[in-house]
Amino acid sequence: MKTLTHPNAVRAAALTALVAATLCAMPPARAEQPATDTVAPFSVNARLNFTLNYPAFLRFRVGTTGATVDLITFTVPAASVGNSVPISGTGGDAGGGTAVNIEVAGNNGQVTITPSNSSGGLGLRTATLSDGRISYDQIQTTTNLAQLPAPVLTDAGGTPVQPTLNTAMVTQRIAVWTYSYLNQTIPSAGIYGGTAAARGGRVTYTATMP
Amino acid sequence: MKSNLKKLAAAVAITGSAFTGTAHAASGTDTTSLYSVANNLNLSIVIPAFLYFRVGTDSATIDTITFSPLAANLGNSGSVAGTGGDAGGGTAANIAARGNNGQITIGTTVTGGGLGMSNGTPADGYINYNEITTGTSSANIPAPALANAGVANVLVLLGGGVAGAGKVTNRTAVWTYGYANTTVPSAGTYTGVVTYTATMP
Repeated sequence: MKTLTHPNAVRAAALTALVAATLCAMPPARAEQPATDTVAPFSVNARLNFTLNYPAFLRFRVGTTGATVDLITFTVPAASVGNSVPISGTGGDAGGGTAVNIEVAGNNGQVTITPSNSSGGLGLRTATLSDGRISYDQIQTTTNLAQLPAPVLTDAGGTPVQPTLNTAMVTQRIAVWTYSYLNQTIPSAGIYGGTAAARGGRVTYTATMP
Repeated sequence: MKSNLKKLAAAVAITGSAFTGTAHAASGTDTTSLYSVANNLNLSIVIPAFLYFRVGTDSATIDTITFSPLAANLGNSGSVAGTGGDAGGGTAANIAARGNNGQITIGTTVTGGGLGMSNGTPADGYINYNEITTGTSSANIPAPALANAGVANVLVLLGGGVAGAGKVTNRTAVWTYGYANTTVPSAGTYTGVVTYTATMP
């Protein structure tokens, strides 16, 4: 094998490799020290070892990416209150507003998604406590991907779900979760939940990984 | 050159270990064990106020309850059952009251100008509406006691919906009508219309 002989060429090659390795958050590669052959036929070996140190990570998205927290609003027509015909929402970043995009990616084992909410176990309420509550069991969630199921919401939070692993340690799933209001009860007139967490309408999905 | 490389390596190291997952955002990444990313989603349900009230057949139909006392029994105070209602074999009406914005009140008015039911011939006299007795199958919806004028309002008991829903009413009952038959009117067919009006704040 004909290899680099000029010390500067060897250094340049090693430097290039070093930069690439650094960009990948890897420890720097180590090259052998330059050597010189002065006897024909000339031959100098210069080996280079690489180590790929891939870090563990967990990425999780619910709705719009970034710091924005989506608000899905269900508005029931007055003539339909409590008639058990589900109501679609608006405000989500998918499904015409009634759904949110979900993405989970991780590389260190089984991911678990656990729902909780800000209602203290009581359900959504208006600004007036005597109006009563709407139970989270009136909010139905479905998924378009069986490998990334949607947790069933309850007043207490809901049932954790586990996305299906793609390989032994890696999860990479994308789905759309669709929400609807089942409209099976007659609540007091009012606006329940919303952006004020104290009114119980904030759902927090927490993804965890070992 | 070494200096630049060090800066580059430092920048990469910082980026690689940054925790961009937040406790209250909609997306994030965690690169530190134990791995956890919490994202929020707000839900809001808008429930408008409504009032539903039913007396008799659940449609635009106005039921007619007819009392036909036997000639031999006129004025003997034996109550006469009706026909034509949608419940109780025709002598009663199904009642439903649903609303979600507070107390429901049922007011009652009658035709006859305060005189009672007429057969179209004033000279024949009138039958007082208080000859029409009413009863209810549920104390949650009392049946107004009929009179020629000044019929007292009744209140539908709040509740019947989800526990704790303070402004909700969801009640049903059957109101039964009878003819008291305590007087002897002129012969004829007497008619009247009772209008029940439910109101809610």
